[in-house]
Amino acid sequence: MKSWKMMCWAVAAALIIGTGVSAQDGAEIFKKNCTACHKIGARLVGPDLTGVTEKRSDEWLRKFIRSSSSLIKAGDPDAVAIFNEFNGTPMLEFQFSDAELTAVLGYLSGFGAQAAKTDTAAAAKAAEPALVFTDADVEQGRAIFQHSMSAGGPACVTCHNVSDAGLIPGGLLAKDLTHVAGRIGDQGIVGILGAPPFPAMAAAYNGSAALTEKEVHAITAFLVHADKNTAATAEVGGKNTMLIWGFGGLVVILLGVALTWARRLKRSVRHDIDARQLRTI
Amino acid sequence: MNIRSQISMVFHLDKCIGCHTCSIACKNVWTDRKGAEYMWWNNVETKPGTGYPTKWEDQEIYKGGWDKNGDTVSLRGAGKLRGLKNIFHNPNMPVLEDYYEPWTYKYSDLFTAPEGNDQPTARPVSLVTGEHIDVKAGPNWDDDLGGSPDYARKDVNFKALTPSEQESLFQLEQMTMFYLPRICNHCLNPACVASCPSGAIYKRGEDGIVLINQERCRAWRMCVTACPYKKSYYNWNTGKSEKCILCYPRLESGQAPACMHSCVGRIRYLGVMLYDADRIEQVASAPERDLVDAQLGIYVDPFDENVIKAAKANGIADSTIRAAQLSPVWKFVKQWGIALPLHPEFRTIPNLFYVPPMLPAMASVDADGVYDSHTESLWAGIEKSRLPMQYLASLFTAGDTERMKLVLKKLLAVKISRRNTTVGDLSAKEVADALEGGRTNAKEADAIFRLTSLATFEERFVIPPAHREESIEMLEDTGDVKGNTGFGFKLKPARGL
Repeated sequence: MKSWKMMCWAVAAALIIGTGVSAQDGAEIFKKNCTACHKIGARLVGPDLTGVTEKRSDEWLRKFIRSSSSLIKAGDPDAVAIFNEFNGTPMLEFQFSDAELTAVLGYLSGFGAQAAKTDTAAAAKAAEPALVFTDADVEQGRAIFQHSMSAGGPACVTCHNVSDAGLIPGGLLAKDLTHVAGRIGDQGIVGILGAPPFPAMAAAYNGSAALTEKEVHAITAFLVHADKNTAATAEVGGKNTMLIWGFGGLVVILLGVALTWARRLKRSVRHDIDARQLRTI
Repeated sequence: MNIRSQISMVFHLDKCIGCHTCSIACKNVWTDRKGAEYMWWNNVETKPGTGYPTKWEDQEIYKGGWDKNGDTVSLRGAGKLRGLKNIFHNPNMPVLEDYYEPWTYKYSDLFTAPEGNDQPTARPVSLVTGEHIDVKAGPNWDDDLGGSPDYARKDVNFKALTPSEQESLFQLEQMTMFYLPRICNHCLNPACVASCPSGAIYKRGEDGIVLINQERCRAWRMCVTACPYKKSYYNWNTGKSEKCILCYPRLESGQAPACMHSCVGRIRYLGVMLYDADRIEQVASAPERDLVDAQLGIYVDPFDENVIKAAKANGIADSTIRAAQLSPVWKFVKQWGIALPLHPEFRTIPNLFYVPPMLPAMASVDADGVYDSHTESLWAGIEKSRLPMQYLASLFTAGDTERMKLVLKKLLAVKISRRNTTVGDLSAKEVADALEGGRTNAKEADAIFRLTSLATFEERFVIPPAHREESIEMLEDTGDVKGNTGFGFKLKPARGL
């Protein structure tokens, strides 16, 4: 009885909250979750979303946002095309409620093809100037990468690795960032660092621990530098080396064990006696 | 001089009938528990044979005991660096099959089997796994030379013998055997104590009994391999190692250990020996041919004024010194010199001595195929013993056959002297020759006979008072509780004392 009552309250509360989401919140949701990779009027990590609501059906968009990878797996031609176009980087999966999705899509529909046309010139003007990185920025970025942030966030190197001569080997918990600049571009890095969309990063660099603009700039400079100055094979080669050394090391250890204890008792002292007796039965 | 007291033992092998009563007494008192079923703190082996666990004497396999290392000794299979290297994987450990898999029979099947054409049988069931097993071996599987192609022929002590000598041993009319009961030797230089990484094994100060502290044992099992006599066993149920405790609770209350008390042949003697602890290292590292003499030299004369003074200075009670003076072990080992340690070459200085067996004299089969055991005299002389002297020497004197012969000649002299007394059919010269050959005299021969054959319980077991009342004073001040309660309380009563 009690649980039934509670469930009623929960459903009611969900309905109130659900219906309470409006187009205004759409802008908020977009800013919070999408701007790391997407922009209206320019291509960043992900595609330009201008007029996306006209290009794709509402149903398709909802599916794609919830799980792009399952669409790709299912062989949807549009999804596969996008996936290939953006260097095989899948979009993160967002578990929005229907109401939230409606809000976001509503917000996006405001930037239709018409708006895009009129705004093209403005957008071109508004497009941020290409970032300029100095050697000092790179140095600073390398230093920041392996030390904790001014606001107290953890060092990048804790989870990420970059193959760079001046850097200690990083963690393997998250993606190798050696060629991240080649994959998503400097603007993409700035976007992600400014508003991290990944749950672990979002938790680590949220609120008071957010990166400063200067830090973002320096880290981006360093990652662009690393991308240019590290051989393209380094990353892939690194993984294989690990495997080869690991396997080789195991063989060496096993050999060492076999040699060190070569004269151990390998079987029961009675083995010969039992074997002979069994033969004679 | 650093005099200490040691409970020592003598087993008279000529008196052992191989009945295993000692083993059963010990099993019933101490090792009839889960995890200890396979342990025989006391076991009786047939020699020649491989013993229990199989080939325990072969230190090439188990790496037990000490190696001579210049002026000192080092553990053969353990030690600081080697012990550390092998601490998680002891490469010389005997496995359960080397002892035997303990079993019982499913007797209930005899009563619950349905009616049928065949008699129901009680199948053997492993005491470790509870599953049906095919019994492959037991702790005395080679009893009375059973299965001798597999056991007796593989006796490690045959190493000193040529193949033809070994072959002749196993000819039908020449085969022989004797029994070798074994318990922990409570050594003066115990390898088990030295090998224990946890420091759980210790030698009791008051009587030299070697014990394993069950609370400190961490199951490294270094003692299992380090003990060359394989008398430390691992209890798979408790995860601790265990060994013979020489029935110390019985000794402390003045009773003989269970195995000795129950001995049918009365082969066992127990008494105190005083020894000089300063000389342990020197004795343990003596050259192999001097080992027996060196060991016998470490036991000091309990009648010597200086020894008594030094013993008292070390806190040895007057009653213990008196027990040492009456000790049958002192008589057998030192006074008469007819008891020898088992495998002194392991260098642990064992405190269990054996009076070697007088085996039947050699018989022969003549050209006509007639079996002839007739000799000119009753005792043909120990040179014609069926078991080669090298074999006995390999067991008891680290290969010194001369010493072995001397002991056997003395035992022979006792028998001849005794026959002279009771039957009187020997010439005076024959008796005198025998006594001289054994480097003894009629009086000593008579004393040996009396302690061997007629000894009373009190003469066989001279157990010193344990003086527990004094040892408790080391742990607590008895003055504090004097007059408080009669028995004392483990937990204080709620109303107070």
